[in-house]
Amino acid sequence: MRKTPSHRAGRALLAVALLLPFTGCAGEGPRSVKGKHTLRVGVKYDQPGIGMRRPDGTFEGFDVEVARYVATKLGAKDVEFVGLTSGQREDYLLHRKVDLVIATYSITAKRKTIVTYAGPYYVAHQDIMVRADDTSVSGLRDLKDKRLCQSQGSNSVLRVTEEHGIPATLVPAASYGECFTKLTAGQVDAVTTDDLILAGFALQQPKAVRLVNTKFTDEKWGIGLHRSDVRGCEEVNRAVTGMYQDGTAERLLKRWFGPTGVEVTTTVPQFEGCS
Amino acid sequence: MTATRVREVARRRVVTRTVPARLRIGAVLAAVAVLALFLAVRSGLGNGRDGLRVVGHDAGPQVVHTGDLYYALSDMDGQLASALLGGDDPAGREAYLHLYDQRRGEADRAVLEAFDIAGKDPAGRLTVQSVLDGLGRYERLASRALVLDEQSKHPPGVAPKQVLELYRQATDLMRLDLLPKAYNLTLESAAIVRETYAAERSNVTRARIAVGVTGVALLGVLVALQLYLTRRFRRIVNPALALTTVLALALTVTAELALGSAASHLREAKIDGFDSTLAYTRARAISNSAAGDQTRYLLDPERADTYEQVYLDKLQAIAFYDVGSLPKYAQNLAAADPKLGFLGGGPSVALDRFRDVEKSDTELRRLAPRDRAAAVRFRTVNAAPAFAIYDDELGKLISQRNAVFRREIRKGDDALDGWHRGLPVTAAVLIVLIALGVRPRLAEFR
Repeated sequence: MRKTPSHRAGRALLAVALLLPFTGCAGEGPRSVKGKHTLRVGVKYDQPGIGMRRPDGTFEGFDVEVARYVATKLGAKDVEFVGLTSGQREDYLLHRKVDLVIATYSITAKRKTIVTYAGPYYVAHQDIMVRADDTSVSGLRDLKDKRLCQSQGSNSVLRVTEEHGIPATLVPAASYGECFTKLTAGQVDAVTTDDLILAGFALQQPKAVRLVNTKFTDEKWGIGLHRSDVRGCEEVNRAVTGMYQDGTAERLLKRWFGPTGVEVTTTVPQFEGCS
Repeated sequence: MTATRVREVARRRVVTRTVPARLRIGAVLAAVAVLALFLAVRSGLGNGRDGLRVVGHDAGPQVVHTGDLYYALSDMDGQLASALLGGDDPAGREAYLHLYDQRRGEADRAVLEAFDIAGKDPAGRLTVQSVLDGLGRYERLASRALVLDEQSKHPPGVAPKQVLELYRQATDLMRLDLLPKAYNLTLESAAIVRETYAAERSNVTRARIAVGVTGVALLGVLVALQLYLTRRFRRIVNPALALTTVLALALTVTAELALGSAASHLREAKIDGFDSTLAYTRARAISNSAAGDQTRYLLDPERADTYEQVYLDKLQAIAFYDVGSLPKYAQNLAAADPKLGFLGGGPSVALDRFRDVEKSDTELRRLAPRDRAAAVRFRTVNAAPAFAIYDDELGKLISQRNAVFRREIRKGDDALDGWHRGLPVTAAVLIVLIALGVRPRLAEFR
């Protein structure tokens, strides 16, 4: 059978044309937390009620349950938790050692230049904790010349000393757990950070400490993602919206912090925006 | 191979080798190629229209409506705070309450629009609905605070405790419940625009390749058929097939141009219109709520620290400087243009107006601890007008960018207009012409 060359070329072109719409685009976009089978989530390991490692190595707390909820909504089948200190959060995201950080991670303009924040999933307020028998502190300005605990990698103390210009003696500590120990041992006079964090510690020794209940800042707890993952960030925001709409957020807040009497907000926070 | 089978194969060869058989195969191939081109163009047009619809008519405008909603809600709370702060100055109070009512009307309209567009999205509808419910509660609290405030006849700047209690409930409802929802609706619409734009761009590119390839294939088949007829029947041109070829070429080229034009208008609409509209809408929302924080800082001394902190936080979203306090922020803003934030990236009129706002805020906060009445007066006479000028500038930028957005979307729509009728008719005409071209030659064999 004889074929003209134009026939053959025409058929080849036609075949290509008919197949083209089905080939699709299999190119890999930037890696996103959306659609990952296993999500690695960085959480705190030493903050009771929020992110705490149990003796058997598993994790519990408000952040941990938020992480589980968000991971499920993102379609992950499995969640691996990684215990982080405040100082490790950026590094772990930047080098993709974790996919998400949900670890009382306050959104600040400065940090936003390094990581992308979904949420906030909760807006906490900075408060002050003192020993139960200490009546000398009833507000922010009473911290003048007191010994104030400064946890490594946290910016809470700077709100007092820098933003409000209140001179206080800073006593460094590795973590808020250590701050709490130092407070009950009389080595510092006050610990100041987000109310939910303080409430978590107060639950451990309710008689030894008290919350001053002066809420002098908004602390937007964000969900940290790698800088490039805008799509994942939008998807996490949808999950957080769902968490408030279906009542999960309220249930989790009441469950973990209800006993402390700390006032919680049960409506969805204003998101930061993903880009 | 058996003898019958050999005969059978030979017979088939004769069938495919005969001139009428080849003509038929050629005609069918051409018709299939027409169909392939038709499908490719139709799918490209569908993609283009989807992109324009979502970006240009659903999620895009929703950003503007929800932005308006946020602005109206935030300013309602700001005007309420101003009215309470003003104390027993009847003229000032009247002006604030007039603006309050105006904003309430705007909020109502924006809620309706937002609800309309939220359409099939259940999470979005739920959010709009709960904003509407909350607005009712807010208004009850606001009117109680106003009545109590009027009865108390206090001097400017010192509202009584019960009034402040009511205002706190109202502003907490507004700032912690309603405004976040309105803002999140804006962000969600923006996310939908971003996703749709990214998806449609690659879809349209794929469709344009498909149109090109199917168009060339059709032309190839038509030319081959023409050449075969020329050689076989010794006629130079088959008029029907020639016309088909010209039409097919025209269809391919115009489809490519229309898809290209729609895609480029969508790009212009997104980059030059939408992205800046969104950035300025967010800047205006955040700025307005910062101005409210300034008023609330004066109105409610007990919460002044918090209002000061969130004020700084909002300024840093507008123009970012790596500092931890307001005085340092003011110094940095005066000294250099910000690199990051909504107004980051070079000098602009809006940035200059923002500097004026910040300058007056510094003065207001210098006055406040010493002489509250003077600070309240300063706010009315200097700080509030400075903010109004800045706010106007942002409003102007939003309308300008939104006009670009709408113009480009309209041009994109125009580029795809008329195709839904024209395309099937053209495809049918092409197939009829192919049949007309081949039929008389086939008739010679009967």
